[in-house]
Amino acid sequence: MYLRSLQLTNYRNFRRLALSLDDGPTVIQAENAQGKTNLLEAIELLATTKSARASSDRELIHWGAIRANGDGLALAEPFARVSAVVAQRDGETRAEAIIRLIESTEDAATPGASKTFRINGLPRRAVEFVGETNVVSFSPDDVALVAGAPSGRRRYLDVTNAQMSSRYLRTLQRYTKVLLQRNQLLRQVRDRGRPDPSLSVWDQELATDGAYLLHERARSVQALTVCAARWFQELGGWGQKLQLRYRPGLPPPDAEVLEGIPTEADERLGKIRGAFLRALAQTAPREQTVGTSLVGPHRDDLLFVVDDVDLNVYGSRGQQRLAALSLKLAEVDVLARRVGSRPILLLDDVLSELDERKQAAVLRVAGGGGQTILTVTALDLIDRRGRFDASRYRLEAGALNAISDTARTPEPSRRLA
Amino acid sequence: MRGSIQPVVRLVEAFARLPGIGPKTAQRLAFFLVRAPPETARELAEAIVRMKEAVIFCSSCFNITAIDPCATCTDPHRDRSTICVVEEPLDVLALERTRGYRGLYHVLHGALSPMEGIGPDDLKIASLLERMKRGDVHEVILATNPNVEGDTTAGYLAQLLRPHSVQVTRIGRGLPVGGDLEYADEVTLAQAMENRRAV
Repeated sequence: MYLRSLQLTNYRNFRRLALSLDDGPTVIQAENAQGKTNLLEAIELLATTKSARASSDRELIHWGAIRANGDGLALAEPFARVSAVVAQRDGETRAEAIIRLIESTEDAATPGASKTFRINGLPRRAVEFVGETNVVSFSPDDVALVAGAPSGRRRYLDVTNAQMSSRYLRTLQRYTKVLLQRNQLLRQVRDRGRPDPSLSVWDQELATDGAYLLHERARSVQALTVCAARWFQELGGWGQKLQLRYRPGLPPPDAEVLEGIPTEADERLGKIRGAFLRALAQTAPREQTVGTSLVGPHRDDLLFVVDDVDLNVYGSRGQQRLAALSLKLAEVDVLARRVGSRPILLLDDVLSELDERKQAAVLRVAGGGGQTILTVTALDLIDRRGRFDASRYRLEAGALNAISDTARTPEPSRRLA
Repeated sequence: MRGSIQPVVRLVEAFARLPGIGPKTAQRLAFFLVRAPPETARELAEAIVRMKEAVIFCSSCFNITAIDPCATCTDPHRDRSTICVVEEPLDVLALERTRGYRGLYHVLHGALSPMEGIGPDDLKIASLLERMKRGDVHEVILATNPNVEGDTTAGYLAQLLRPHSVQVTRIGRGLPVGGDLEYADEVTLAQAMENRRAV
């Protein structure tokens, strides 16, 4: 799978941008604050329907588009659009995400934004849009996957699994709803100081959806750990073995059902559901005193372990970064196998933080088949070991220009020096 | 609503309180009535007030009715051994349009939703169990909506109905008629496979 073209309209700092791409590596060189990350974020939006960075979707719309509207200069409502032609083995589709500004109303004092999605011009719900474009992205911030809080790792497992199966995304949405309802009921039980007869039904609903999420997460981690260990070895090369350990949000004896999951078996799902219900029964008194759900996938964690050491706590920054990169490269392998085509790989300014050996390994992956879009601050980062074969662009103030072989622009890092 | 006249503002606000009507639609409706002849406005107002005075809930099934018990509950041609449980009176209308169901109804007036403060006591559940005691009911069809709240309500009712010697069924779910397999989402398709039956 690859993007044949990408068009941005009023997206972040891009008023208008059109880019043709091919099924191979593309390098985008830019100094800081030119919009490298915004460009990759737009592609990620097509894959996940969400921006990992924006606190409000309103931020995704070019400020000029919003201001023009405020002055009454523009006739249309302010909007941003990301549009791409996605080429797959069986043909091409046009994927579009449109973000519209919602003006402040009497109900909502702060203006927001709404997102709509289209495939070949026809509207799609977000759940039906995810999975049309598969993307794996890596940026220096992803070290937080290893070094940060468990919520980031759960989000990672969700995004990865949602790209592989729309049933996962739907089940996750349903689980989240059940969880909200159940937490509200537990708070009522706590405040009123008496049990509620309908609680056990919410338990059943929570366990049914939760069991599926636990099962799928365990299965994906099992596939990821094999590939991640290989990448960690190849990138680091010092004979240390990385292991991903899935820590389901069930008490240890109940969590055992999730070890060594071989296949997608209904019987297995039933066992996990049983363990979930047992765990709920055990924690019931405590849940009703604190007024919130204490077991389930919303309490999951994922450990990055090297030689029995948890990298979250004891890892060096370098190890953490390497483990995060290994995970992302493993995700490329796992997604390719599950979906049937290699996902688009986005690498945002990752080379500068790596030593030469790792840079070379990343460039091998980038140039080793499939679409990779790589941003760099300076071209010498990719050309250390001879000229890296890729389409090259220079991004400056929201405009993109091809870098031809004959007229190579001076490299900014040298210019600075 | 700056720059508008007080009675119009009041009407816009009244419309905006209705379900499915946003501030813009409320304005459009109000200004339609500003331009409309007086009898249009009077007719609408009277229709609303009359409805409110005339409509009551059936003491047996809790559907809306003008006479108690309602026409469905007293219809001698209906099958009194089957009760179909739904969330809203509108659901009864939808099922009646099928002309395929000949049993009785029971309207819960909602579904369990702790977030909206709706618990078992806020629904017409006790009266449903009361109806079981008469002993002539053989089947209860749980036709609450196939969403989180509806499913949970159905699960709760199934639990309560277990001690009564009555068959409890959940309305079938799966593919829409006239639909294409390839366009069905995975969850619907998986459920349709689970709920398959011999032909």
